[in-house]
Amino acid sequence: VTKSTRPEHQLDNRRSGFAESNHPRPVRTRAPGLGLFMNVVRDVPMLPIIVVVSIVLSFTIDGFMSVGNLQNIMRQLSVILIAVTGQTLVLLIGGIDLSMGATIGLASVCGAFTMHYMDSSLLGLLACLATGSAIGALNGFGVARGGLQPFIMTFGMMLTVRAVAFLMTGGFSVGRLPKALLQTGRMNIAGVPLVFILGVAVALFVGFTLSRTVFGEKIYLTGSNPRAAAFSGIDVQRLKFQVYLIAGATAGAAAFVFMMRLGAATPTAGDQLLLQIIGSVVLGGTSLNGGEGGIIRSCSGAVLVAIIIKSLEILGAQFWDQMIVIGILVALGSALGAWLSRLRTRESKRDDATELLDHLPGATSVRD
Amino acid sequence: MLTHNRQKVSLAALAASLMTLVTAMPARADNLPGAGLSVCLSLDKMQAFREGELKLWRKAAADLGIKLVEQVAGEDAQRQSSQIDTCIAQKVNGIVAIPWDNQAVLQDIERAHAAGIPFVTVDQAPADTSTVDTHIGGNPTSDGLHAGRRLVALVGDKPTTVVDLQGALSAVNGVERDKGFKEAIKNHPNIKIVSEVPTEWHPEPVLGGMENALQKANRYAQVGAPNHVIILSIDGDPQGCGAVKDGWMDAGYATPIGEMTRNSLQAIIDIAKDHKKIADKDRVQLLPGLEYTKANFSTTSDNVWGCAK
Repeated sequence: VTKSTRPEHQLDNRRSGFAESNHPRPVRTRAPGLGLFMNVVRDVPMLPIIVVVSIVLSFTIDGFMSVGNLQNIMRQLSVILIAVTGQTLVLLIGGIDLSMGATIGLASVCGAFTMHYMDSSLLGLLACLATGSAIGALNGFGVARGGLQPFIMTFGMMLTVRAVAFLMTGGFSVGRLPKALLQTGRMNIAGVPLVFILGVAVALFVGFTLSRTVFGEKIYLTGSNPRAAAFSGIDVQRLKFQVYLIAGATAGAAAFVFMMRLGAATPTAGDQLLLQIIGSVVLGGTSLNGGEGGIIRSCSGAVLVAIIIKSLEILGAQFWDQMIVIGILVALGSALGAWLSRLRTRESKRDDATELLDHLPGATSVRD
Repeated sequence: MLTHNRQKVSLAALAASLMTLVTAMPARADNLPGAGLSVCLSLDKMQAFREGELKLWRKAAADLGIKLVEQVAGEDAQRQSSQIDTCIAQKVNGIVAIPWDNQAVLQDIERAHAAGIPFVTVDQAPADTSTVDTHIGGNPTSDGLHAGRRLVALVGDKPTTVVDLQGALSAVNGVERDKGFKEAIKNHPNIKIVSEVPTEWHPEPVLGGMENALQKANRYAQVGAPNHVIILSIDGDPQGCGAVKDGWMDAGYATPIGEMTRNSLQAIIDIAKDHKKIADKDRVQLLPGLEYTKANFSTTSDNVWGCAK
């Protein structure tokens, strides 16, 4: 027989490990070791899987844990880490941004042209961010003010943006970028690729904003229940606009890192990225229905995808084999996420009931 | 390309088609020139033409005793770069690549060279060919030019309209073939391009649509028939080969991929094993396509990859 407590700040398990809610929730009591493990599983479902997979692969694949391979994985992750942060925000408010891949393509082209003619990496970065933000703002306007379905709005935007990128380049990639940019893109700091550090920095910043600010709270509340959010004083339309704008900006940042990594911009840059971005977010456990998920979850999904892809590459599997494995993983990951979500809901209801009993005179609650 | 005049509709298709293959690599003999060498083959994508190339690469590798590590990038520059990184980490003896992105591959070439690994590009040239050990490709401009000249010869002064089925606007080969074709017809005002269709190297739906349209207009006829449509195709794929052989297509221009694939592996052997330095003047090898028609089919078909049994 235990009693529940009501601390001021409890971990809200709808979110990633970043999250700390102001909403009071009952404490779940478990055996200490198992409780910690279960909390990790609930908060970042892919983290234990990443650990187990990495251990298995390090014993089974020659050179998997080599510095060179780990650096390759980190470089591969650099663009994705940035892009998934923006997509996560959009999914958290119950939207979706299908134009993100195309935005990366167009932003990279605009950034490359700017650098090509101005010979300034900084101006190139600004061009990428401006292009991404402009597209994000259009998406946000269409969804928030125009009332368009996010799928339709961003799908239309994807086609348009892709076509514009092709018109600007004639379909060719744009190279001859400033040498300083290419050298920076290849730079390692303490053995860690700089592009990866940039990706992690963006993910940390967005993760912090999501979990530690009122803005983040509003995103979760809007995604969970837009009507309740509106009743509680949140300007839902404005928030949606802001989220799509930020997502566009992250796509612009991803485009810049893409150029740092590859030394070129191409209108097709994002064609293959979109599914990888959405797959990583869903695999990590962020719900497509909004209101549930987080940056760490999405990043963990991206890491798992990158590890699996690289391992299969080393084993000689072709990309279509890799896609099959990733497809199965995404399906299993989302099933796991849904199961954990149901588990949390059940536990939450049980805890609420227990709490109610605790407050009834003379009543006790029996717990497992 | 589809050409149309008052009396006659002409079709010229720049198209590739499907070819399935399964080959097995025979056991390597130690006395073969490439014995002990491991070569990373990085393809930009997989479709009919690449399958044809891959088949010949496997054959050439088996003949030379080379172990091929095959990677397909799936039209993704990032993935191709990552796969090349993996090959470098695996310390292969050479890399042969068909780049998806002719700019992005420059970084890959630089990384491979930094690791002491020779890099050869095939079919699609990098943006700067001086960076690569050697580039071996077809001559798309020349192929397009020949196709255009053939069309000019066939239609003479008759008013003619053309439908141009292009490869892809983002691929050098597609663009250059188109450029060569347009160059050949530019001084012939009677020939007018009325439609340009980028097929993105997936010509089957377009070709199917064109065939249906021609059948409906009663223009689907063999070479020599009064309502025949002139068809010219670049690539030498199995469909093209069959069409020339059976008299449905006027001429094809076969990319010499047998020579290309073998030369690329030989270049790796020369550099990695025999430490030969390829001279600057020989760095780029552009091999013109072979024109094959029904008239010369018996003498040319052996060198057309799509005609191989």
